[in-house]
Amino acid sequence: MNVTFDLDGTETTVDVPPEKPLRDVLREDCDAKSVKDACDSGRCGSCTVLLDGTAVKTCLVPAAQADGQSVTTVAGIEDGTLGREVQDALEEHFALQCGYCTPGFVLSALSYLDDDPSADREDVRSALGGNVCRCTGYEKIIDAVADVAADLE
Amino acid sequence: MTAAAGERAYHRPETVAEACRNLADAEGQTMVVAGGQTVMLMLREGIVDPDALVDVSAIPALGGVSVDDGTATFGATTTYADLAAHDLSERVTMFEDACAVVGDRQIRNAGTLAGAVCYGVAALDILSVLLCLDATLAIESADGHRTQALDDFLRGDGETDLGRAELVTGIDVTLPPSDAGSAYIKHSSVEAGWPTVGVAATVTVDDGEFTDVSVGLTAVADRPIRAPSVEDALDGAAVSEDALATAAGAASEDIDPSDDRGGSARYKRALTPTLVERTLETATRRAGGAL
Repeated sequence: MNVTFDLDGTETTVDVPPEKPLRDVLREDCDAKSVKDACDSGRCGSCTVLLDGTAVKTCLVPAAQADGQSVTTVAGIEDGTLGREVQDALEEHFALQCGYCTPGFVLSALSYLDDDPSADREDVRSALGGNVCRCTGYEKIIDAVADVAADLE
Repeated sequence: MTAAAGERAYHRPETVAEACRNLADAEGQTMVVAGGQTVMLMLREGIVDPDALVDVSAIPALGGVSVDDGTATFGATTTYADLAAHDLSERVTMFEDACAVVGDRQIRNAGTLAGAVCYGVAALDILSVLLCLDATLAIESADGHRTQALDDFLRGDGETDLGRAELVTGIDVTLPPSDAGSAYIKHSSVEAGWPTVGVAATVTVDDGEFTDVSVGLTAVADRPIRAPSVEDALDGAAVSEDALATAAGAASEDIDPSDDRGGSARYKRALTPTLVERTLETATRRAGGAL
């Protein structure tokens, strides 16, 4: 089936089985390798993207549901945007080690701060509960995102 | 739109009527997909291998929440995030409580209420909340329309009364009185993970006495259940901590837990009365009851 969507600002059409996980479509058919592939069970959040602005785990989204939608990966985050602020804060706080989970964290944080600019640290901690990091122990990630939230206030 | 993927047909209807036709015409095993949070996992793990998938996520008529006086109707594809963001969650706090502890934010953005209803396993937090509110399902098929109480629809561990060509289109609930207090509390071994036990409760305090008591339990039987022994023990009782403790103790009569990924049956038995008491206490305070 032809699925057409806006991928980071570029209209993209792929011919894929409609129930193929969107994550696999992005990685294999669109070469969007910033969308990571890890737990394969909707737990780790490393395949998170924004589907029409909403954070979802693409391993659990059938490709057909991207038709007519916009898909934002970290590759689509531009200078001067909130997404870039989140990325810069993660870097400043040394909030990544191997970096594999980072794209998912960036997009989860961005989507959350978009919805709730008045987030406090506890809100941030809860909002990032769908993303797993096996290196950092989370504190620095939460510090970074809470800092961005404090600046937004 | 319809596509054949290898041997599997995939339909993406835009109306309920079209979805019902897809379901009626499909050969072999069919599954409905909405948010995909359960079906996609089952497909990947090889637990299911349907001949046809009917994706209802593009049917506008299935979205939306409407509130009318003492009732609310949730469209089938209402997500946990939709419910949490709706004014109703401020009025009926147990919605807000439950939505905050289901999976995680990404899953709540995609997972749907009717998806939980149709999956029907005992560990789904929102189901005991819906049971508390005497939820009734609107069910469509090519043959017509029927309604069924959620309590009757849930048959057992992931077993429901849904016919192979039927589609749940909406969920009606009876709202508690405006002065009621409600809460949902769950315990799980990891934050927002599968529940060891979950408790939903709504109470009203009238003249120092409990009225309109409703209690639902998650993950302590072969399906989500109400707790009639607790409700009966509390209804009409004078508001006090002792009354809550006595009623909570009665929960042991209502449950029949098994070992599952949320904990052992023995642990669930030990935990249930405590969690029922805690939830009732929160609901009572929210209802303005003096404890």
